[in-house]
Parts: sequence; structure tokens; C-alpha cells
Amino acid sequence: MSGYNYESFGSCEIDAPDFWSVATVGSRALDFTLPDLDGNQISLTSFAGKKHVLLEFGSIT
Amino acid sequence: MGEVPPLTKLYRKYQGENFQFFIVYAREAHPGERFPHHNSAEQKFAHAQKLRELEQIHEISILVDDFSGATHRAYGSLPNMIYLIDRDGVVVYKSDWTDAQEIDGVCASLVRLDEMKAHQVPIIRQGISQRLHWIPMDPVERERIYRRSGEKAIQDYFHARGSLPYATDAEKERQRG
Repeated sequence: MSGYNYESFGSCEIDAPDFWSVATVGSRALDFTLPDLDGNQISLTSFAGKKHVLLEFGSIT
Repeated sequence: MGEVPPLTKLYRKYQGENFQFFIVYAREAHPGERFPHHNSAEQKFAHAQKLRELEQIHEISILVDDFSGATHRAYGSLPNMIYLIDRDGVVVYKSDWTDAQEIDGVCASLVRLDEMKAHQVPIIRQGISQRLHWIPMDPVERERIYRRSGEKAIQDYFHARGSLPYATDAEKERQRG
């Protein structure tokens, strides 16, 4: 995945996917398992049938 | 990211209503001298910890995407995306940039849906909408985010975009200079 962690803003368009063509409204959300800062592994599917999940993607800069 | 305060407000409003909020730490949108692009998973994790400290994120859990950005890419790779996924695992809302008022409305509609189901409303119509929206960004806030990354981040931004229609006069002046 070269280019994903770009060094300079502006080179990101090269790697730009179509925001509207993936994870579309009405489709099943792709599952993920990611660590939180305490080291717990969190899966989207673990909330199935229990909670609505809000995700905000972000970074420091 | 400068979207933490409005998100925290929403979190406090809805956390008791069967909602789970997460911030997914992705790649650095504007790498600079102080916060360069990620070069290892360990460094990415350390940056995520730094984000928690800088933005004082003590209520909403931060998840750290993998080094290759698998989850970020699967959801569209933009730097400030919001997704709401209902408890059936279906995407019910997606947006680039945080419109707190709109997200509030979507969360409220999910709460209403739960109530309708609980009351066995016989017919529930499912609507769908799509729109562009415009959110003012505080120039001071933008300056804060870029500054903490470093001068490189500011320069890259101007070089990438040329003359921005929404740059402040001071920014345009600086770009010319």
C-alpha cells in the first residue's frame, strides 16, 4: 500500500478512492477489528443487535 | 482533528440510548515537522495516544487503524469522515466533515426507530437522502491544527491547492508573499 501514508498533503489525491462508492448508505458495514488505546481489540460485529455505532475518522493534523 | 467538542456533546446526549461512539485514528492528513507521516505501526499507535492527549479525548474511545489503513480505506479514505452504523450493521449515514446538527438529527431518528419498533408501529417507511452541505471553519481553529503539525503542513496545503477560494485574506497574503 505504498502511498497510503503520504509524506506531504497534496499527494493524497493520487491515492484517492471514491468516497461515495464504498460503504454506501443502506449497505452492510464492513467489519473491522482494531485496538483501542488500552489494547482491547474492538470488533464492529460485537455491537450487532446491541448498539448503533458512530465512527469518526481523524488524525492529529 | 478539530471536531472533538461537538462530537463529545453528542456522545453525552446519546451514550445512554444504545449508541457506541468511536474515533478511528487514521493517517496524518497534513504531515508536518512535528507530526510526520507514519512509518511504523508503533509510531502510529503513539500518535493516536498523542491525539488523545492533545484533544483531551477522555470519553470517546480511540481505535487505531492498522499501518496500511485497511479500515480507513474500506470506508473511503477521506480525512474527516463520519459514519453511523445501526445495530443491524447497516450504514445509515455517511458524511465528510462533522455537521453536529445533522448527526444529532440522524441519531434522534435512530432513537425514534427503536421507539417505533418497541411500539410495534405497523408500517415504518424508510427514507433516503443525499446532499451537499457547507460548514464554516474557524480560521483560528484551522491555524491551530496546521501549526501544531508544522510549517511544512501549511506550505504543502498551499502548494497542493493553489489559491483557495476559502482561504482567509491573511492566508492569501502570505501565499503571495
